[in-house]
Amino acid sequence: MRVNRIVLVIATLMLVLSVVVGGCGPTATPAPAELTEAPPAEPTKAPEATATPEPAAAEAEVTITFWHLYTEAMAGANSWFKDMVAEFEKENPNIHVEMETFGSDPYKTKLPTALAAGEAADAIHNMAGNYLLPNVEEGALEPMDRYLDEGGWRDQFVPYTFDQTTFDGVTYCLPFSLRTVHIWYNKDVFSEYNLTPPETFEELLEIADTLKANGVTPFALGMKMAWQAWFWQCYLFERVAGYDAWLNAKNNTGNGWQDPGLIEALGIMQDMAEKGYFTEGTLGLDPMDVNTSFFDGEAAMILNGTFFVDQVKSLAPEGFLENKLGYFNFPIIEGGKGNPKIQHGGVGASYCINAASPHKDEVAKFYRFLFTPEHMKDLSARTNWVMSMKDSLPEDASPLLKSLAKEVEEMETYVWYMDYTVFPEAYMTFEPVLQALVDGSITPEEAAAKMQEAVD
Amino acid sequence: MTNVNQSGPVRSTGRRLWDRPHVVLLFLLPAVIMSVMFIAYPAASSAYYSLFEWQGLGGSRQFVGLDNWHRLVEDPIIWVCVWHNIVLVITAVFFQVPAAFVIAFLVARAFVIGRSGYRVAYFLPVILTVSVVGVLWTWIYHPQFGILNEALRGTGLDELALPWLGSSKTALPAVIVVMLWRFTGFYIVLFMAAIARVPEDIYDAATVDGANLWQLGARIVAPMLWQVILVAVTIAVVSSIKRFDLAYIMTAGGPVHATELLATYLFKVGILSFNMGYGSAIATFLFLLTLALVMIQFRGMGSQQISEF
Repeated sequence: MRVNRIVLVIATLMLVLSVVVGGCGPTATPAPAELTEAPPAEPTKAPEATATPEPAAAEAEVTITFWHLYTEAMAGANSWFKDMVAEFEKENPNIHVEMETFGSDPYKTKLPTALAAGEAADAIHNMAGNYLLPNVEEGALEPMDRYLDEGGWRDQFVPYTFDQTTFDGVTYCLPFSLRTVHIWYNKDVFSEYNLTPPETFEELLEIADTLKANGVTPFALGMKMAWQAWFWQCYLFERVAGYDAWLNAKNNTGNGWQDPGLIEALGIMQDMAEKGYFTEGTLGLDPMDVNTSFFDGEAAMILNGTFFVDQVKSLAPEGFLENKLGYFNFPIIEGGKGNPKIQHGGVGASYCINAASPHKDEVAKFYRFLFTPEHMKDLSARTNWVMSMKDSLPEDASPLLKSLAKEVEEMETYVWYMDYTVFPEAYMTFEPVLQALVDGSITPEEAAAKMQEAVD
Repeated sequence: MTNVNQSGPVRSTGRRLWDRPHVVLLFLLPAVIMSVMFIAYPAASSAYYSLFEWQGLGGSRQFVGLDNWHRLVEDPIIWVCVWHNIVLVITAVFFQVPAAFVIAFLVARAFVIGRSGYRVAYFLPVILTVSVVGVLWTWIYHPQFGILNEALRGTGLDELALPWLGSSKTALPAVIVVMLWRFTGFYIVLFMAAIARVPEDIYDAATVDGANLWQLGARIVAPMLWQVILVAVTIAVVSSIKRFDLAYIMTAGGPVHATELLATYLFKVGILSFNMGYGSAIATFLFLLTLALVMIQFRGMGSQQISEF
């Protein structure tokens, strides 16, 4: 009959449509429990190690899942974790650790999604500072005080590192790496143009001019994700306006984010962008992608955190780390209120226990195994990183590592990473503001106003 | 039909299996279940959650009434997103679908030799994983190392070697080009299949009457394929509003929101900024917008019934 045939046609069409529409586009209305879309890792990052995030609940056998960010792009850390897991499993035959690694930017998407869906690992790598606040407020992280108070474990850490993982007196995460941000430079390029590390910011700009005149990009910078650009801004802010101004901004007191010092700092960055000191097309480039231009000598300098050192070891040509990599501290601005003993950085990453995990004690045991001075020395030796535990400097540390450790020792205090300073929602607004500033589409005053608005 | 003259209710003793109402219902059931589970229920939930202040990690929800909706209306970024999505819709409906039809028709009627080759070539981008496509094109567009700019420099067109994904002026067109590259093949294959069902005598009769290729395509075949075109346009509209993957992978919605779409903004707000309440409001808005556009489209296109062959 005509009616039934039409019904049949419509039914088939609906079925086809629902399959086709579902297949050729992503699911748009994500119900909170339903989001399956996650951006992939970028080309320079190694693929994820395969692991199933399902903790098996066999009688004495426990499997804990473990997520961290040290892919093969940071081979030193990656190998350390692998070795540590193997040793731990040998010493604890009833605990099995399933490790999975992610790229840093994809992880910032993966973790909240997984936590929201209840699929996050038992042991999770996390950021620090105010970035942790949403997790803390939702009770997604297990307080670690009871573990830290056992056996004086807490005293083995450098005390101020807990500042960035403790909220309302409760410590939620173990501080891992202690980062400082420096200007890394290619020694070969510098010697080619007879350049030496500058003492002041003005000298730095002169160096940039010389490089530009010779067709070399002064500073490698990728701004698709704004964190690398924020290194610049945080330092400029401190060097112009002083630490207290930054503190006011962080706590939204005093002048907050509309401090004239910040506006001046934003202006300096805008000028630098206009003069072409940064990588061309920086707004579309991922921070990891610009590393190549630094290794090649196309860009002479890069402002980056000390995690960069392990990336250099893994990704740069043979011998680059030993022979061509140099660094200097961000210079002071003449007439500015900055303190050269104040660095930018702080706790880079921390390790937490998923509050929804059924194996919290096993995870704590695993962490106890990892976070010992002896194992930290091992990690330090492999990566040239400075860690948050005391006595974590290996005896045979490379000159670079000794130098970096000395910087950390000598610094008076530090300016936090921007995405650890402001809450994630405000940071989401900060990002395009900085991009617009570099683009030249807004003035420094407008930028500062928008930043203040986002924080209020 | 046989049952029309029977008095009383239609009985399930129709000659064919699929005339029986129960059977029809059974066939409809999977589609209905899927619709409810994956479309109706989440859409209703999102609308419900949009009335709350909620971080999205499963904890406390605080009822805030229409606050999120007020914010949505006043948020300038939302309207930037809507504009970008509309640009996508216009490009898809008025450029991509017609172009696909023309290509499909030409391949079916004019370039008959190697037709399957064409079909494979056009469809290949569609089956590539979207992340592969996104990353591939990000590297093609790379200002220093990408083959696009290298080619431009090689032919002396240095001024055209722009930072395609890095400039707020060129980012959206650049991303749209990739979307066209990727999905046009789908429509082409859809149309090719439909055109293949047109009986040969139609062409013979029309050619005898003096119709040229253009008239064959526009005046005869296109009206015959109207239902298929309707489906294609619906898909184009819906997928343009929902688009997330390519934009997020290539530019993360930047620079400075130059490629921000409703879905990417929703993701940033709801997941990355831990504000699921506002994110749900955006999601519901997206759903309503899609609904409105599809209804308008059906009004405009659905009334023509020149098929039945």
